[in-house]
Amino acid sequence: MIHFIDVSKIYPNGSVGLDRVNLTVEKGEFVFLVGPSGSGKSTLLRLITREEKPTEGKVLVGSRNIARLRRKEIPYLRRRIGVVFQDFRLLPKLTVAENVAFALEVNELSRKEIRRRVAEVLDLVGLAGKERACPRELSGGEQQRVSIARAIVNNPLVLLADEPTGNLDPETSWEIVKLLETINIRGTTVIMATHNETIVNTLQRRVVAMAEGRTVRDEVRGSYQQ
Amino acid sequence: MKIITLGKLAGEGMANLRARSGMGLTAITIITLAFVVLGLFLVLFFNLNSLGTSLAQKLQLRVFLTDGASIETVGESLRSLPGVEGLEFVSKAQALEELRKQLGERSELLDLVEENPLPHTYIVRVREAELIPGIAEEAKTIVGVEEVVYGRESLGKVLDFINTVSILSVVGMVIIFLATLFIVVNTIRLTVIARKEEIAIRKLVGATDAFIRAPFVFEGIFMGLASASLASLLADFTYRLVLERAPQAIPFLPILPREAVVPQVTLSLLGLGVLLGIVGSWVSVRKYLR
Repeated sequence: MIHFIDVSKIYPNGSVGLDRVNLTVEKGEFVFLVGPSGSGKSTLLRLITREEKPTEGKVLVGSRNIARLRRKEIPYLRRRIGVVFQDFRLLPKLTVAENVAFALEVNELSRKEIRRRVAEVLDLVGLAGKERACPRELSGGEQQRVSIARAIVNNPLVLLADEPTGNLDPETSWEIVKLLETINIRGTTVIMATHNETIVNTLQRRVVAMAEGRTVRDEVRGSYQQ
Repeated sequence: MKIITLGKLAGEGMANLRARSGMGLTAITIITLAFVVLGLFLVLFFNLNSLGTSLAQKLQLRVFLTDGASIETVGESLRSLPGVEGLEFVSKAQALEELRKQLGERSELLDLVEENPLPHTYIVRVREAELIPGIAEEAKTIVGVEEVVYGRESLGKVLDFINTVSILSVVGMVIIFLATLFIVVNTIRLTVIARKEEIAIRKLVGATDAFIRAPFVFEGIFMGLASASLASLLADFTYRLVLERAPQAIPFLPILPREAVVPQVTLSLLGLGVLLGIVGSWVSVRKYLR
């Protein structure tokens, strides 16, 4: 479903983000992306959302080469991709429900439909009853759940998580990963960039290791280190 | 985009303006004052235009015919010139009669002349004062035309003056518009910066450019419309004062009545206000959509 074909990304200042990467992620997979900071994990994710354009090569999402996407088509690509970050990126002035609804409003759904789907997704991430809370009243783990709810409320094909547990304690991290697993079981492809060795080793999922912009290891049931 | 979404985003724009109401009010005040000046330039512009037209209506060309020329042929040729509004024919006999009237007692002098020395004459009315010199030149080339006369010197000067002032007032209006644009851009940019995270998240979840831009465009339009409405009221008030005083101060200049000027000025200002909001917000958001 996602194909990287000889993809290189060289930034204007000359630094290499990706160096001839080939990678295929099939529908329904759960993939860990590991490697040191600056090894290209985030660049890879940003190419999928078309926040960056490859310098060379093709990035296929579905069957389309999104390197060739016109500016007008980018929003429609992003509606099929959910993104979760280390720092949650919630809007502090909006309630939990409003933060999640933010992703639905751009689709111009009716208010009733928005309310129904927000309630449904908050229930799924275990935040039923917290609709009216503000992000700052929530714990870190709860905030990340809100951001996951926002990422999946549009039923995306793929969920990209860029170090989603980076700011969380081990126990909460584990809960978040369990949630991502649940979402994966329901059919959404998940790509998670992480430094969390324990989680990777325990879950025994596909691991793609990166170093200096290249994929250096790709194992079906991998661990953090070789 | 659906109407209901548009309404929601308009509400968001209004809320943005209210959230920074101090800044918004300052901007609206300055833009209003600038628009009053702009409105007065418009008043001047409209008055000058009408002055030019009314001058043209008063100014006429007199076309003298040679003896024996075909009156109909010359008349048709004159009528076919571009810019000619109408013709009036004065025959030799009529001209002599008029001259007699003008001379009054001394009309006996005319009896000394055996033949009527006056030519057949066409009085030509033209649409615009600027066209008079051109039409005069054209008319001279018509077969059967002896001479063409009009107030060449004075007309030229008046028209030059009107043109110069018109151009200056347009330049003034453009400068004022650009200055207000600068104010709008800077005011909205502050809102945009305050909403940077929202914009980033909206982009991430797949909002179109139009969706992201809309609240800011509405904010700009509200600012422009509010300023334009206030400025229209002030300009109307000022014009009424001018109308009261002008007849004594400058009786020789015709000034347009209120109903011929104020609606145009109001509409122009409202239009400019909307334009200002759209262009201003467009410029301020552009950088953050990249």
